[in-house]
Amino acid sequence: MMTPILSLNQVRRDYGDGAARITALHNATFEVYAGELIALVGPSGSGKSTLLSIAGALLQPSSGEVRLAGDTIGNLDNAARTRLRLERIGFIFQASNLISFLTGREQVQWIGKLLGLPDDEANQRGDRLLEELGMTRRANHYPQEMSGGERQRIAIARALMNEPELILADEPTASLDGARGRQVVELLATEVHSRNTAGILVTHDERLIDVCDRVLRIADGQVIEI
Amino acid sequence: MFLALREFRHAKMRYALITLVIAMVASLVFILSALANGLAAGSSEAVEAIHADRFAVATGSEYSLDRSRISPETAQAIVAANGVSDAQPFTTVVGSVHKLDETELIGVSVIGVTPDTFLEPGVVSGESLRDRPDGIVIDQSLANRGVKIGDTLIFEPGGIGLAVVGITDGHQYRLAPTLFVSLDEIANLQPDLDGNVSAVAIRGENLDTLPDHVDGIQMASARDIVEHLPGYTEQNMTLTLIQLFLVVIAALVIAAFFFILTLQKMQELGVMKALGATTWVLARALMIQSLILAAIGILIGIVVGDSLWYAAEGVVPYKVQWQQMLTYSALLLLVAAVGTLLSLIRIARVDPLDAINRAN
Ligand SMILES: Nc1ncnc2c1ncn2[C@@H]1O[C@H](COP(=O)(O)OP(=O)(O)OP(=O)(O)O)[C@@H](O)[C@H]1O
Ligand SMILES: [Mg+2]
Repeated sequence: MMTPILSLNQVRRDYGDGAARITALHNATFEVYAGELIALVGPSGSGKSTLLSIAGALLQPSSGEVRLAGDTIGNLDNAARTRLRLERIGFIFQASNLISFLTGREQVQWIGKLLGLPDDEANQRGDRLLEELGMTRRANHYPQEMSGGERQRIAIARALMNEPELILADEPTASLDGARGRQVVELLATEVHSRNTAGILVTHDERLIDVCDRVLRIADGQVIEI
Repeated sequence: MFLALREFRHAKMRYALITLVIAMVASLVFILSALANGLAAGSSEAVEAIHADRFAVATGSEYSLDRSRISPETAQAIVAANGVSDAQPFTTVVGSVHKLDETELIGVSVIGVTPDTFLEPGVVSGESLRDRPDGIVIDQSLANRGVKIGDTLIFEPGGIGLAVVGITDGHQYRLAPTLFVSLDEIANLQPDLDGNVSAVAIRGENLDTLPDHVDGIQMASARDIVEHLPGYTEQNMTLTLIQLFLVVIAALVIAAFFFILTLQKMQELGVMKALGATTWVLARALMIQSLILAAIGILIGIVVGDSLWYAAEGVVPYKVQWQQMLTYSALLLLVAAVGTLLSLIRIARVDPLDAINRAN
């Protein structure tokens, strides 16, 4: 049996203490395999971002086990989690999460810098990604000179720069209109499939579900697979 | 460097302005030190140019050459004392002169020395007192007032006229244009000295016990005399205090500037951390920025401070000392680094989760 890229086992996350304590995630258990893009849908406040943060080593679970390609990541220290995000995870956030003072091309190159890649290798890899995402022509513009869709395509390129095992996207289409949002998600799905990585896409938009391979529903912190 | 320089490029104006502010503060610091040096030199360089081991001044004079009077007998006793290898009496008085053909009075420091001794100032042009004991050797500070070799200066009151025979440099005293005459001439110019002198410059060994053997004197170093010049210490303290305030202001300006920028960037910093940037990477970028801006500002300050030196020549007492400039540059760089500390703490506290929880 193939090792899942991401596996959560009885993962729970509480916020606050005592009477103010709320459980944002109840005993979530599921797996994501290489080459599949999962849609994570659910109402506002249901725990989608919490789940994604735990999967992306941004947040530690209160209990339960989180594994990335077999490695336990739930109890790593800060430095190790930062390193793990840099080397093994690709993040795409809501719109405007590009760095304002870097051009599209530099956003991607910067990840190569962080990884310590030699300059020419970073530049080559970056330019290839920008081309794949159809952003070569716009690559020397700053984020504020780009449309929302262009920004998210740069964000996808940036997330792929470290050749991640797992791609996490939290409502990347939130600020895009339907058609553009769909384009972005389709691009993401293509990349996940062609690179054989695993991906989780948080979305409010039910119309995007058909682009994904599998759907996880979450309500009040309970994950249900359909 | 990647982040630091690209952020400069993206907001050139903003960073140029802060550099300008740093440059202005640095210029002020350098200008004030050069002025302080100039004032100090103008007050004291004549005393410091005398390579004496000690000065004998009258007890009760509080190291003030103006107040000190030493009789010829005392001076003789000092010359004859044990341990003294050379002792030369000299006199300083405040006087006024005008040129033969002009009525405008110039306030001067008059210093009387015995020609052909270690007190005699070397000349940069003309003749020295050794060759012309009846003449005047003027300091450059008086030459700057339009007095030339060959002019006759009339001392007032009294109306005695003497010819300018040579020019010396670096011998100003009490911030006044300064001139040198022989001790014999000063006795003529100032009959009320009654043959007394101001002090005796001494070379020798074990001089600090001299007052045990010669009555009515105390020992002073050149430093003692300089620091007891009227207003000298106060003036230096005032200028130093202003400079320190400027350094503190530089620190605050840099601190406030980077702190505000950092606060504006919290969200962006969160994203960068989420993507895998360590606090160290982000802190380093900020530190590099601060040091680059400070270095440019300091360089501009050095250029400004230095070019004023040429402009100020002969107009204001102004003296650049490289050693001191380097020290202040280093201090300003240090302050630029310290100024970012507050921002660095902020950066360290940025939580990468903010990148995801932006909406909340
Ligand atoms: N830092 C926090 N402290 C306290 N409670 C929190 C915190 N973060 C999230 N929560 C709570 O946990 C629950 C789940 O939040 P989460 O952000 O995961 O929801 P979400 O599904 O992403 O919502 P949305 O669709 O609005 O983004 C919510 O009730 C929220 O108020
Ligand atoms: Mg959310």
